[in-house]
Amino acid sequence: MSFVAAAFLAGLVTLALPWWLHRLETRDPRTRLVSSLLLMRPVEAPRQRHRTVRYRWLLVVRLLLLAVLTFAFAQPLLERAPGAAAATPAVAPRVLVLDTSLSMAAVMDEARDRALGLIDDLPAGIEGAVIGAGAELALLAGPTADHDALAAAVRGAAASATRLGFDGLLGRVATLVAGVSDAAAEVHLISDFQASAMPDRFNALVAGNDLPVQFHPLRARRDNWTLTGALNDGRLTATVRSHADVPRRLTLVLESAAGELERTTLEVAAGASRSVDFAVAQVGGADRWLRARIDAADAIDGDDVLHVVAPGAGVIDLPVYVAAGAERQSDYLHAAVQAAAPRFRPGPAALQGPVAVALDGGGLDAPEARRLRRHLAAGGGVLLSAGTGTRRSGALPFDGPALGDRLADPAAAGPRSVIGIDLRHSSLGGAAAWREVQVYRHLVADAEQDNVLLALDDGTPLLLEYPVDAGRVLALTTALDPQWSSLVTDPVFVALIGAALSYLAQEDLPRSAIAGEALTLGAANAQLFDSAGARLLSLGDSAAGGSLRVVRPGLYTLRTPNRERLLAVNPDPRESQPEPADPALLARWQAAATAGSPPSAAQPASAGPAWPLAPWLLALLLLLALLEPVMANQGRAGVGT
Amino acid sequence: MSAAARLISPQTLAGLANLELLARVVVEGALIGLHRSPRFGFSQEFAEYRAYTPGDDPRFIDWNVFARADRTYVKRFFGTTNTRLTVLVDTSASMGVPASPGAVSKLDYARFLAAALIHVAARQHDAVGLSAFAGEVHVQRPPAARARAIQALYHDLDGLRAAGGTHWSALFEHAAGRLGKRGLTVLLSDCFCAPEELGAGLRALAARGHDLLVFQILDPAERQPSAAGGTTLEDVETGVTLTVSAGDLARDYPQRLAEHVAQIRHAVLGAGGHHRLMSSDEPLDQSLAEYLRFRERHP
Repeated sequence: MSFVAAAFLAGLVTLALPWWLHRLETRDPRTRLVSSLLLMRPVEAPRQRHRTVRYRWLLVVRLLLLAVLTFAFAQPLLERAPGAAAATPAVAPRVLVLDTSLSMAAVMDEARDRALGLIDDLPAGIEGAVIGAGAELALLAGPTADHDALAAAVRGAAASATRLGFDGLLGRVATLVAGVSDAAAEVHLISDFQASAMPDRFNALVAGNDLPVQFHPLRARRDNWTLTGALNDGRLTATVRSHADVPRRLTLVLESAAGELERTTLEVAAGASRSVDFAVAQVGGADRWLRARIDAADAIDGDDVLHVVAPGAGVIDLPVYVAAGAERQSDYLHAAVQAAAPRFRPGPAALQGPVAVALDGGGLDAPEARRLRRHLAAGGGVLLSAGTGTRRSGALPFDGPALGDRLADPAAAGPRSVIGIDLRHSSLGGAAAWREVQVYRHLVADAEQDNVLLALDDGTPLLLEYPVDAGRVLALTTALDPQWSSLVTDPVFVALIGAALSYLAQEDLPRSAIAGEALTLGAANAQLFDSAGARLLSLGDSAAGGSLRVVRPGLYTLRTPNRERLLAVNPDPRESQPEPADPALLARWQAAATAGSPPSAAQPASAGPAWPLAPWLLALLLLLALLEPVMANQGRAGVGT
Repeated sequence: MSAAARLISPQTLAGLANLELLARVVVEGALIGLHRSPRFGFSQEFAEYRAYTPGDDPRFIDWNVFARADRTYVKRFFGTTNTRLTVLVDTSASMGVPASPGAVSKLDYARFLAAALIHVAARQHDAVGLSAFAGEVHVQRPPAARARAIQALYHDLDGLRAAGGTHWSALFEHAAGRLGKRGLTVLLSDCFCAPEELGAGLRALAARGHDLLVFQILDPAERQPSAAGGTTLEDVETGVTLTVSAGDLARDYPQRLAEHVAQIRHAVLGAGGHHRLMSSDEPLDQSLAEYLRFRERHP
């Protein structure tokens, strides 16, 4: 029997408590009151008084209660007897999970040797598989009985720049293995088992795993220096952190597209960190990239370079289409844009920009509508407001949802309030922000619920989103007019315009990312180019849009139909921390994950998977908990008589 | 009422909250049982003639017989004399030692017995008094025959609680001062004391003309103790503990107790009194019968 959380066994010391409590007795329990000692004769032999335990059976129940509770917390696992595991084949297929995170760069050769040794131990004809574990799991080879192919996959495996977290890793491995093989396999995890990769909850380590796992920990190298940084208020703060046991003098270089900008030398003590500030002047309106590097030539090269994108101060043209009779809306729009999104410069419809605004869009004349249609077809965004022209058209522009016959009449039902807010759009704010907004007139659009971002208390939408060709439309069902609603006089209006324009202009695209991190892109049809100009996404990937995962550090260009954005990708700094996980924690994880070693050459087939005893202990605990008060009451009754 | 029915156990009597009712139940049952034996009856009933001898009270000379026969005879009656009964109840802590489960304590038994004696005496129009004592005499009712005084005795008996040690010399000094006229004195106690001390006190009372009846009440568990419950004993009055051997409790202690009882009996008899050993699980009827016999002999 083994324990998942053996440290909880320390709780057994609490057994002394009921023992002590049961010995608490001011009077020797054997003492009996008598009328007189007149006729009594003392025992002549020396008297030895013992403090005895009272209510022995109650004590037994209480001790059992505490012991069972302690054992339940320790999560004991009962290994099957060898006979019980007879159904398991003598040698199971072997799955090698090779940690390919950035930290493994320092010990990758040793990891390969360990993996090749396991393949050599595999008897002929037994299948194996090799899985690379970085930000995602990748099946490198197998399942196959061709051990040469497995060895080749191992030799070809290299450390990536991504991070591997052990949170749910074994569960994902089990799922992947179940997807490619029906046979019960044994898993060998080869890793440096960094402490920084451990999750906060122990259960996350073993959740979802039903395969026996054998750990092969590798000793990480400590001769590593890491460069990290942050851009703040026109300054780049680069920090060099030492994980080594010796001090070292390093040269820190800052570069840009124009070449080397600055160079400095600094002494970094063992285990310490040093920071250097670089002034980053804004040059022009466009973003620009910067790169800092140290010439460490250490255990991990991937964390010696820092990529940064410094935002420019450029202005974005904002064409505003105004239908006849909607001029008043334009005034409120300009005021809000100036306050909330000063990078946008509102102007006539002739301007070109990633986003356009159409005030009473249904009332625009045909040429303007056609221009907007082309704008949308090219992937642009349009912010629409309603008006009398839109009402007459019977539907929201650009094949949007149909409008009902009626215009919500304030005289009949009174002003409407906003009660439905799509919280996925954090820029819309919370319910409190919209509490004061009252809508007197609005168009009743027949929109699908999924597209409604703001809804009124009569269930009709106030703000909805729908795609048009490659573009996207945000439509208000009320006008930017105080006679239609109090929206334009409410503070939330300014925030709404700012958020809507940023969203439609895809200003929310990221400028930095962690290698292996999944980026969420608002735009469909994004394409990624590396610093050499090569496309990194296939046609299918780019068309799918939605999210993007960049696994290699560097500088990239992210292009959407109307925008182009520099993207700096750096490795996760946690991968640079060489401190291994607590051996006790690793042992408990191994015990929980293995629960009896798998049959292999390295470890004889002595046991199979284990049964957790905790549910049975909890059932026993419940029984004892019910029994204890019954016995305690009986004991009290006995005392009373 | 059959003999079995009238032998009401002390446990049953303990369920009667009203002491007067308890006494009535006990006494009526006992008297009915005793009715078949006229010699134990008390009334104004004529008993016999006896030849006058000098010193006889001339009031009892039957002058009619003298007129017819010219001889002097004296008439004798059963129970024609009222007397004064004083009940002394020991309320020391030893009288309240927890008995075996379901049994009454020695003090409860003494209270029941005292109530029954008071009831019997009241039926005979005897004056009855009560003294309860432990370290000191804490209840003192001089003999009286009025109904209200009898009710007060029941009330006092009801409030008796066992506490403190026994101070015999204080009792007898107090009794010597208060029990002025001669009469019957009944002592209810477990008599765990030095026989000499008890005997000296009783002799002092006897010298004042008191007829003495001592009911020594013991718990069955005291008469035949067992080692169950431990062999470390604590004196309920002094708090002193003593470890004894189970063998001693089983073999030697009963013998020592018998010797002690014999010494108490000897001390009582030496004072001209009468001693009766009672067990607290014994029906009260027998105690009453003992009293009635004693009353007969001491009119």
